[in-house]
Amino acid sequence: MFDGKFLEELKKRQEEWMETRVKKALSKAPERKKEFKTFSGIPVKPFYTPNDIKDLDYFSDIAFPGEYPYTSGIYPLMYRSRLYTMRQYTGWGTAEETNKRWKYLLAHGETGLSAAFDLPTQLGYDPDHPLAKGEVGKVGCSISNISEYELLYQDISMDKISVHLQVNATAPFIVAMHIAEADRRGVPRDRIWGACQNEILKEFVARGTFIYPVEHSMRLACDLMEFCVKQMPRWQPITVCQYHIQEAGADFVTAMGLSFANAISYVEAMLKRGLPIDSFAFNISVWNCVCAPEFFEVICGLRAARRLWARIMKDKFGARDPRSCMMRIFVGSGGLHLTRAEPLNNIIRITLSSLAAALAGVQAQNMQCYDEAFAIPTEESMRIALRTMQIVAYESGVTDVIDPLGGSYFVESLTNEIEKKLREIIQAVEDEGGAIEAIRKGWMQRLIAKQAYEQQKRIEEKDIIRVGENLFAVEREEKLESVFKVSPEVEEQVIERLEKFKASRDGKQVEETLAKLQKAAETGKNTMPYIIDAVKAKATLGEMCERLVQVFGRAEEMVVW
Amino acid sequence: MSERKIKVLIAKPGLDGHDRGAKVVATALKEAGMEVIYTGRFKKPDEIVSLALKEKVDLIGLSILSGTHMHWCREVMKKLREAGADIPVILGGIVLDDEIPVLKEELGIAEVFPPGSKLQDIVKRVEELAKR
Repeated sequence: MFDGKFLEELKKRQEEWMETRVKKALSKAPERKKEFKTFSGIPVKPFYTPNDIKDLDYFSDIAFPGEYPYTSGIYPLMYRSRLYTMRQYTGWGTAEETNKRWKYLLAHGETGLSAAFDLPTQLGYDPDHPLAKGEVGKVGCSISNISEYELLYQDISMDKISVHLQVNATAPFIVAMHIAEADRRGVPRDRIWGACQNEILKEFVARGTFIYPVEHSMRLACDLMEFCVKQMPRWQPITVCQYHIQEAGADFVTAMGLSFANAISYVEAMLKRGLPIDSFAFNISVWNCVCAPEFFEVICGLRAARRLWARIMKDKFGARDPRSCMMRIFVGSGGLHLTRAEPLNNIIRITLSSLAAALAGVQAQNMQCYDEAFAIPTEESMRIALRTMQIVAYESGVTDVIDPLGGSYFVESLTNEIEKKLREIIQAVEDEGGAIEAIRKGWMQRLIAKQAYEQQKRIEEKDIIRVGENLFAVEREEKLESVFKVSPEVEEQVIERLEKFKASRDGKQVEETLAKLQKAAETGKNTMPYIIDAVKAKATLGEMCERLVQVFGRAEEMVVW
Repeated sequence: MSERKIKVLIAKPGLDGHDRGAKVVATALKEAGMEVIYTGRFKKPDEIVSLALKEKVDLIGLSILSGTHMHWCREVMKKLREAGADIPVILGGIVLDDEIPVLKEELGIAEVFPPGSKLQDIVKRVEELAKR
């Protein structure tokens, strides 16, 4: 992008500047730190010039918004035509309580939904299962059957507002309930709008809600993906997760690299089913990332990820449809960098995260709440998080220009650097035999645990700063005016409803559909149509899950640390 | 003769999958010279207690981030009492301020470490409790 002669002149002058001014300044006062590096350990220079991006090619490395490789954004007008979707991860207690909170957020200008399910729902246990005791409704809402799903979605459109169902091991069952409810309402399947997480590989390496051994889990995830790409063009049947890998301990760049390795495994599994790349790539190129803790690393990291994914889809997988190369990004601000000390300060941290995400051109945002280190959010803390995204979007002006930081010598240089690192991590996973093999061996888990420990040491050594917690900390009792508590009656209430539901159904029909589901699982057929039939016949989540456990067995955790 | 190493069991009861804290604390205790067993996820209270007895640990550390700590702590303490075992139990996780006195005084949890706790403080407290 720059003339050779100019670059030479610049290099000469920069050296002079270093020799004279910088040296003199250093002799008077040293720099604040021995070394400056990003959260992920990438060294940062004091100043960047065109020489740091001398090999950058505008058309092939940045390009116009909406054009390959999408570094500056995936759509030609980005936020000038449509702002990022604001969808808050929401759910607790009963379906009705969650439905009420969803409506509250929509009334305050939320533009999409994101569903949180409790752990029994995520792990395939009905609320009356002994292992569900104490867990019902705690970190999300309890959904064990189609009647609960109807209550969850009461008076909410399934085609005019999009939802993100944050569920993995039990995604096939929950999405089947979503489809069954849409069928009941007469919403055509090709109109159903939304997404699900269905990202089982990261459950094995980071988050822990897995049920079946990894190869069977992959098969179910792919059954769901294949079913959806064929029948539901407005549904994104997987969300590849950088988010949970970072929250489990990896740094931003490592987490992104590992998520790419996982994504490549999903693409390969779909290709193995005989599906042409361009028939599914667009629908599955969706990511969930953390937009914290560091401002520029997030912005450059997301730009680099977008560009690298486009290149992988084109160069490695031969995608021809430009849409196959468009990585769509849904961010969350993450909970790890939020402090329990002086919790209101978290609002400021979250604002920076939302701003970084807006500058990085993401498609959707979910901001954590300031009371994250205490409990699930109150109505007020949730509203403030939503307002934060709205203020960034409507008041700051940053959404009026696309990729406003593009072209900055530093931003482009760090974007390049991160792309290089991501390629190295992807290669390292390939050297281990690919993502599934690296997970089986515990390689990914070990790497994440090691980085988690290193990060904690960095916090305690004040290499990572948390104002009010490890810097300028003052002894005081942390108190919040109100903290959310889930009502203890929820468990009893949903168990009672489940009993009534079971009494209302035709037991023979339930058994027939479950037997067919089991047969489909045994014979390698796509399980989705059978799960939908079982849901409609009023089989419960726990019953369906257990049937598949009989076929696939349960996964044993590989305890690595 | 060298002193016997402190032996600690770090356990995750219930369905919560968030194991970052458990692993980080386990590593810190190990680096401080202790012998550490980490159970992995999804452990039932009786599994935790019988493992603790079998391994003759000096302390049990529970890690829970799903808001179910009151339930699981109560269950683990009950099983310990039933087994007649007097092993100190500590808890790490997302705990409300007003729950801490209940956990300590009513349930008998020896110490609670909410988010933001320092590893050096955890190590120190574990050493004190284990040697009691």
